[in-house]
Amino acid sequence: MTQKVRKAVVPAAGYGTRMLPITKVVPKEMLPLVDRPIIQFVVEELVEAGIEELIIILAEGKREVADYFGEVDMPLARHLRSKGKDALLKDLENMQHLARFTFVELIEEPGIYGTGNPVLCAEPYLNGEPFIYTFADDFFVAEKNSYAQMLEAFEKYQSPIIGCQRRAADSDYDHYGYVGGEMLADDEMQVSAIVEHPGKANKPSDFASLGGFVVTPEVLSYLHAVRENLQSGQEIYFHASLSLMLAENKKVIAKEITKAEYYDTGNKLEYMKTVTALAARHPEIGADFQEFLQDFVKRGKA
Amino acid sequence: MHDEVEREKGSRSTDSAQASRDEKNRGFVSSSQIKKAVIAAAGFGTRFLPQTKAMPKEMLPLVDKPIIQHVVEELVDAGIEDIIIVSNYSKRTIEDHFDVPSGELTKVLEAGGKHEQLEQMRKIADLANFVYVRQKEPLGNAAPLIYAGHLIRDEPFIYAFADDFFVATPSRFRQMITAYEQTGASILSCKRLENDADYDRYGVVAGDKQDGGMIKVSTIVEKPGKAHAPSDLGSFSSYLFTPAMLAYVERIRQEYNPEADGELKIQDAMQLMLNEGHEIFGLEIANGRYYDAGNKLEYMKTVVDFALERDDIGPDFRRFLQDKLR
Repeated sequence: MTQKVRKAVVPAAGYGTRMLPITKVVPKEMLPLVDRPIIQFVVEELVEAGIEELIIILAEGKREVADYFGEVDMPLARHLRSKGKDALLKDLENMQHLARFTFVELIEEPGIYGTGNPVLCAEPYLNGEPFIYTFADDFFVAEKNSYAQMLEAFEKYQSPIIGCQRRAADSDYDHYGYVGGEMLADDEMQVSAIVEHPGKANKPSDFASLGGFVVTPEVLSYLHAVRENLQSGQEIYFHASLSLMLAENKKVIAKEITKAEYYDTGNKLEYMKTVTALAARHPEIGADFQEFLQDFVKRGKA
Repeated sequence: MHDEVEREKGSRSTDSAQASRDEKNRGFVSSSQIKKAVIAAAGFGTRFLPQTKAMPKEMLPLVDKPIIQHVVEELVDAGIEDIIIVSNYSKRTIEDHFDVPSGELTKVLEAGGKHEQLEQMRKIADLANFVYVRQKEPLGNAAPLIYAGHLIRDEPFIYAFADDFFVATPSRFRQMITAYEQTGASILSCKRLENDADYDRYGVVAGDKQDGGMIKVSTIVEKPGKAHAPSDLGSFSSYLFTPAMLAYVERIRQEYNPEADGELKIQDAMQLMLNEGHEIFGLEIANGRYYDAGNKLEYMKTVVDFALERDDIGPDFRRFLQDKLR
């Protein structure tokens, strides 16, 4: 029987060193896209796809994300009430009820880093259920919710799902992990190989792994195997657990997220592109901001 | 253009604190008496909610640098040594930003071999002597001076906000200090009002025209509306006050009636100063540009401008905008 996917694990523990100095203290997942942090876009999309419980992995001692999805501080609440902004206050208070939030502090054993570690930290809260694993510094704006697309594929195949998008710029191949295998449909692939940063010459396909994962409980045992066989100085790549499954002829599916624009905020240029795109469609300032951008062109400044 | 200014500042902040002081002593500010500044950072930033639910609006990034760091660097560049940040319960992020980097970040940067970046992060803590004062009630734009007054006592000082600023050559604060050295009086950074709505948003000053882009202020009107404005010169973003100001702020506080008076305004304190014979000059900031980052639209315009001016991402970002807008 199909088990409903109710949980998501979202690491928010990266240091975003490419965005310094702003990320000296502010977590990169909290960088604003006009007036909302990146992680809120991710959380809202997960909730819209039916996720009920969010396990957010925080860096040691960093409370910003937990505070953001927590109660409204008294002085702010008082201030908003005194200004008659009760509706806004109610919206802020409701943020803590978007989902059931569990905040877990990332435990890093000396030398153990990498995309697999947040999942290991979240394991006690997963109760053997399937879950979505997704990052909070990139996201899709899609005609159809990107996580819903992945969950549909999961229902169909009952196997781990890798969210992908076709990426074919030369530099992309040095930047993302790519999957290769047999196409089952226009947007679905049975994966036979996963290659980190393959370079253009060795690309297994144009499917880049950048949309997160739907993870089955058995993946965790493979992740533990990765962890146990780790050489000193290596990072735990989450992909490695899926590669181990492939080696045992287990089925892993890549699902292309279709009709979707991918937004990355991991470096200054991509962050600026994303902020600009979202400001241009912001309900309050979008029209004026577009006019401002058009003026640039007219004046020959841009 | 201001990217160059930024880089210049950046290299300055990578020097040791002592070298930085030596450099200043050789340069422009050798004779400046202005060593202290107050930055008001106690607002709730409600125009940026929900973002500002758990992050001070002063920490909003201009690409990759918090707005308040821009203001701090401009102050330091003009010879300021002690920076008093008047904040509230939610502003710990600001204190942490102007501190040494956390142990975790240090580990990450060291592990990645990013020693120069780590050094840059450490230097942010050495930019100035930072002092933090809590403002216990949001009483208006004079309130930060009430809470910081005892730390200033008898020195002239700069009072600045961290949600709007000028980028100018020489810098806005250097221009203000020069004007103070000429007049010995309080100086308001000003710019011409451009559209009718500005008259409903800013203070307007009027008075006798002086040399050097200054007027000797005889009238200060807060948000007069276009019809009743005494001039088209608006008071924006910052002030250089003689210590006398502190006594006037104290006086308006004592006479303050929260029911009847609304907010405690520095404009009211300045009016009292004028009434009792103190001089105040309005200085139109020359060779510069004003940026307002206090609301979403203006903040976004500022961010785009800053990104376009940068050497590292400017050209690529410009191409992106051209493609997008074609």
